[in-house]
Amino acid sequence: MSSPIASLAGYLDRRIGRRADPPSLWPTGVGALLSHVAIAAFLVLFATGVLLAFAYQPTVEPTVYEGSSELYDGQTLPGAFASIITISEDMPGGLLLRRIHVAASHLLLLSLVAHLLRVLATGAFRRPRLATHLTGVGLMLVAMGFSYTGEIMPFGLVSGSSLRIAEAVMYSLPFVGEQLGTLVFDGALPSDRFLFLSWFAHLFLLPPAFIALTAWHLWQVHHRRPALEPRPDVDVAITAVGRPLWPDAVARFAFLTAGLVALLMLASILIPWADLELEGPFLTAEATNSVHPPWPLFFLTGGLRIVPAIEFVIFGVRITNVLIAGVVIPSLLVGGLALYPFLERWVLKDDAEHHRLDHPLDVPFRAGAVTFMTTVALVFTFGGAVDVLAFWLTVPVEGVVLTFRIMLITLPFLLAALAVRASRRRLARRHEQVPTRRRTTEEAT
Amino acid sequence: MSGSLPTESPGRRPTEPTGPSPRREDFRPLWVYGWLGAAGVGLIVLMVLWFGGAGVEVLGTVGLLVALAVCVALHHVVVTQDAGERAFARPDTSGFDVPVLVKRRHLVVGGIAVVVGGLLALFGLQRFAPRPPPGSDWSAGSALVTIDGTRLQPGDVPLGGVVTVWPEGFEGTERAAVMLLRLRDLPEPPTLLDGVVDETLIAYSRLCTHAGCAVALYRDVDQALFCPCHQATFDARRAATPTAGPASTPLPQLPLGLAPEGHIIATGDLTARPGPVGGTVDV
Ligand code: FES
Repeated sequence: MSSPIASLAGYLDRRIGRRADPPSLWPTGVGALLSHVAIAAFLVLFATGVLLAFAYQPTVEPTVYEGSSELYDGQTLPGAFASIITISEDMPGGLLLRRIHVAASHLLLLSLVAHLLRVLATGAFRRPRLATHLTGVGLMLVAMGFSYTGEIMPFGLVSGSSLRIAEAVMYSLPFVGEQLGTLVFDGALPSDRFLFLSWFAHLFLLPPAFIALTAWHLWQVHHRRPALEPRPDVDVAITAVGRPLWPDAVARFAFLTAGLVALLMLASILIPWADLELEGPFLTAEATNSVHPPWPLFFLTGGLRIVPAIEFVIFGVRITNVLIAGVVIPSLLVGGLALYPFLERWVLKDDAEHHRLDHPLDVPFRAGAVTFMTTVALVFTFGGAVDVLAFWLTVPVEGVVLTFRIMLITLPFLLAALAVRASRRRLARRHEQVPTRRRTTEEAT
Repeated sequence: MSGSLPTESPGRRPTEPTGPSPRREDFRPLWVYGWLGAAGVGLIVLMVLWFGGAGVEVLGTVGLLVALAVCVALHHVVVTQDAGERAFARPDTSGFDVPVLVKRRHLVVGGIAVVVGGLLALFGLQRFAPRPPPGSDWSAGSALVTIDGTRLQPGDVPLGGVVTVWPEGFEGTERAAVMLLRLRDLPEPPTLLDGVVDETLIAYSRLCTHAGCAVALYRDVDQALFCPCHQATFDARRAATPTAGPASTPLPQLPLGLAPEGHIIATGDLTARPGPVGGTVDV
């Protein structure tokens, strides 16, 4: 074990952390898996993104596309869309790069969502990890920013609608909305401004933000030592257990990354992610039958669809569906996610440090609250697909929307009550039982 | 000191042995370097194919094989080379998150700074930033033309037909996009009946009043306009008043007339500003 990599890793292992601290600990298990998937996916996104960035042109300027796409050869297209077609059809391996990039973005967001859910359900956010949780929510927001700008950039048919909707959300802000919208979007299309802004953010603002936040997040995780699931052999509340950086953690991460690359390659052969040929370029005043944002933003479009048409005026402020669904609800959801630890601390009067992860049903209040938030988010998310559901079920879309409205005001309360009940039962069962060896091992798994 | 207390053997989990891998001796360098070498060769092949312009399936398959070869090699490393778990007493973290916890003073100062800065920014925006123009490019007398500039006669729009039109000279401008439709039945109030020509030809702004998408679909069955973005539905016979979905404002109507030469013209601007209604009420 004295290869250059080994000695470098050994050096890092000894250096990471505060002086006089024991060397780093790298946990294994579900939590580590989810976060490592996110990091590996980001690495893949970074590598493919750098290659794609050279060929992409952030302009709406009409250009004549000439190349091997039979559908578009000789046609005048917006520059951005034309460059996307060039990448897919004429650049060697371009389509593969685009598909991997899109597939990896799904993977990144999926793993982030799962990680966040696990943190909320197990109480990993409690002191001393409040700040770690906040940087995690920040990472989630940055990832959504990647999603949105990444959808705008090809300037396909749906991009135009997405752009308009974001503008309408800005317009809906009282007093300054229209000014803000005009500044950011530069009035009517075709205008380069918003496309340029999206490109700039996607390439030059969001990646550094993501890297910096990830570094900060990991640094916090390291300094506080990871919170761990209970295990029979060690009391994880006073002892931290993990593996050394070399070779355990490095080999595992490399193995995971190689596995994910294989998975993404397979997915890119099988599934035509990111093939925009049939969608076509943005055309003024045109839209297709089914307009959807990327799935991480479904909860936004779902809100716009489910919230009823309202319009009333108080003090010169017009409250509309867009203001409620595009501004108020997302702020509540994100705010709820970010501030939940503080709410729980206040409600349960528990300001102690916790290093041992709970079972999701260990704390009734948390079980209820997390179920509530998750259900609201899910109803909104699926609400983004009311038209598709209506098409599948062959019922009128109004009926589906009504169902979702009813679900929105009943399901969260219902499921939260059920979760609280299940959690109380579990607690009661535990109280009347003498703790047995078997139970603790169950908990550990 | 936040102690270093390496418990030499933290014990065993039911499923996972801790401590150095018992299979260290089984490490087969030839196996690992063999697969890594194969992956390297595969990578060269991939590069050659890449610059040779191979298709996505070929490149993807070779890439898949390369990644799998790396996986096989690394799996052997993971299984045989583990140094094992180690355990340390947790460092004292009671001082962490303190800024988040107690320093109310910082919160207050930060809060005031944010509020003051925000108010200044709001004022600046309100005072100096441009607002969208109140009307559109339509005016009395402008001819309705399609995207390629042809004027339209009433006979050009068949029953149930929808044509997207612009004022002559402004083809393709987004805010002026209007759809001209031929209804099956006569329109009814509150439609601006003076703005209807040839009994059933009527024109509305193409931009949804909900969030500004193109209201792209016309359902002849119930003569409704349908926005694909969030399913707002407008009654085309009654001034495009919303009948379902999230929109609360009718689509602006474009009053139509006939020029002496027989083509369709507008007799004024749209009845309201096209596009989504903002959050500020105009006074
Ligand atoms: S933009 Fe038309 S329904 Fe939302």
